[in-house]
Amino acid sequence: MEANFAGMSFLTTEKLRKLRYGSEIVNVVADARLEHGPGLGTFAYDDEGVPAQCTPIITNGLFTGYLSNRETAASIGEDRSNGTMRTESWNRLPIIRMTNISINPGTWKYDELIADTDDAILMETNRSWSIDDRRYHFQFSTEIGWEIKGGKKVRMLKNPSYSGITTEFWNSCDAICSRDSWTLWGTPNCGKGQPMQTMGTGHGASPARFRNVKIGAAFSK
Amino acid sequence: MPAKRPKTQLRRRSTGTLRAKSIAGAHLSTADLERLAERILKLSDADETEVDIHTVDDALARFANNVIHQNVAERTLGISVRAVVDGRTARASTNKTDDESLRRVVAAAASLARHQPEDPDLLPMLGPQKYQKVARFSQATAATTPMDRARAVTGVCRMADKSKQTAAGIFSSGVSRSVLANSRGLFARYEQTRAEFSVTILEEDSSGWAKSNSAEIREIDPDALAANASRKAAASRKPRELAPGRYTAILEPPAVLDLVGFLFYDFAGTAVLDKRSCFTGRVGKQVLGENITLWDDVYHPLQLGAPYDGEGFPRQRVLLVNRGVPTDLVYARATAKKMKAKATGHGYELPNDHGEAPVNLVFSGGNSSVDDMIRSTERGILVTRLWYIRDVDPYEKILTGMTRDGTFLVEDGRIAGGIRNFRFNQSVIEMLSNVEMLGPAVRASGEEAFEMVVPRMKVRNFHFSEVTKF
Repeated sequence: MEANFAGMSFLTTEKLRKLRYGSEIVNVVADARLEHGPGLGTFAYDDEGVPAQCTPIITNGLFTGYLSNRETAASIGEDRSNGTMRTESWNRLPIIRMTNISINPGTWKYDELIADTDDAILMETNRSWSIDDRRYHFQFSTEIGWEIKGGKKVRMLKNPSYSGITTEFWNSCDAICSRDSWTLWGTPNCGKGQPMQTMGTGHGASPARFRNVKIGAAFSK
Repeated sequence: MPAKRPKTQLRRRSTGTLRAKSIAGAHLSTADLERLAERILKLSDADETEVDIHTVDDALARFANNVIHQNVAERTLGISVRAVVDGRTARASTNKTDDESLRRVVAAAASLARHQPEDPDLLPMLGPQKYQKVARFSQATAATTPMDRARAVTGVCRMADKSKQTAAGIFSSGVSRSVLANSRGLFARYEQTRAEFSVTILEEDSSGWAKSNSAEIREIDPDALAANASRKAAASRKPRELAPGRYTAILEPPAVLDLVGFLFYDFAGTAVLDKRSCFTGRVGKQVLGENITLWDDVYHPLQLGAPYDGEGFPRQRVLLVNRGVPTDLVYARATAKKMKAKATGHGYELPNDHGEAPVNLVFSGGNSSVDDMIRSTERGILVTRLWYIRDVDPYEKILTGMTRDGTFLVEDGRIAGGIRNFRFNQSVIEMLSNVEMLGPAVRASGEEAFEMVVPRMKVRNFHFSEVTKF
């Protein structure tokens, strides 16, 4: 449906329950329920009347689930919609949208993760984001970063960026911080559909560590 | 798409102002809107009152997998009233036309105004103005039916089926009308039609794309656009991976549009005053190549839009860049007063935080055809379209984004085949200093910027920084 506008996904159906999307500690859910938190993708039921649900979409690193509606659920072998049909307003057609797409907390304490890291950049505050139209390649810029040397933050860095291929990035994840530092962030202006519909989406996450990530392509010459 | 840039600041509307959503009423004629404005003005006892009424009648057929899966239409009416009381101003809106609702919206605007702080920049509303005529209403576009759109899309889908390809896209058409009036006697009216066809043609490992947008639906040829997209999809099969780096780039007009579209707000006087513009400290200097000249010109035959701004001030033609030198900015009335300049008719509706912006950009073009550009290129990349463009550095105007739907290697003066899509990180200022060849300026339509009149460009040293998997 989005081939002409918002693009498609590399997650074609033959990859379901087969693709190693991330490392074994990576668990991602699409969770619209109130118990997930007051996110921009939290609601009681979707615009087809299907109750809000929690769907594991990456389980121990394996790609395990799609967002679906009452029409598409059967085509991926599901018994029922997982309740993601949403519309911007009364005068737009509901379409499948992200709800709260969150990475579950891990086990690391934040201070222990910094102390355990010898040579890295800690990125803070998302500044801009861009992906290709199949969701393989990404580049994110941040406003502020910190150089970590020998387990300590040693100096501030301005506007660091990181980029890469989605599955390579998530497979390089070797530490995720615990619930103590987990925050349900959100984006108010996810765009999809023609006429375009703007939607709020939630994204819960805690700080995580990734190995061998490409840094600074945004300002490379 | 995970997140779009807020379009509200980018999308142009007929009066260059921000639009409130509303319901029912686009069947009203311009004369009906004028009578409605007069009724509203009579209800107000504020020091000054301004009424902005607009109607939209839009319809769209959307298709994918070679079938139409969505056919929608909407008819909307928006009434916005601005009151000035004791040097304070505020706005209220409604979509109802009964007497009680009109009385209520007028009272709300006045009440809100009374509760605002005094605005030291507020100028008296304009009196009657004279506007240059623009003709942007096509009876053929206005009369387009759902069946007309469906027939055109069916033809495209059949063509795709026959070629064992898959088509996706939209075909839309519509009418908008607006009236701007105030208690000092200003009365401005505008109507336009708009049609748009956009198509992506997919194969297993390649795609092509084409799009067109015009006031006149008869200028849009869905079959020709689809055939162009189909050729691109076929020609880019089995894309090879090329190493990232700096290449000569041949940018089709939509690719140029979506990059230079990030410059438009930098020409706002307010942006320079606030030191948010990339032209801050650069006006009058040779910043771009000598082959770059840029106007804002609402009267250009390939442009759409009303000949007046959000306050009803007549839009002026403004030479923004002359042979690579930024020469002038655009100014709302209040900005012009602050910056000791003349208003240019580019202000948004008041009150607002943005000031003004040029919304009818017209680049001067050249005479080079795409074949000229390809023939003269030893090794380069031809780009059909760009996507998900975002700011990296707002002063140097470094942008990042991806190529999409038809990216080709050019070798020894010919197309050598499709390549995997690149990410770019490129300064637009640097790019416009490196233009080697220009095509004729055309009305281009993309996804990131509103439509502008831009040429195809051949650019040296374009920075493709990384490559993706398809």
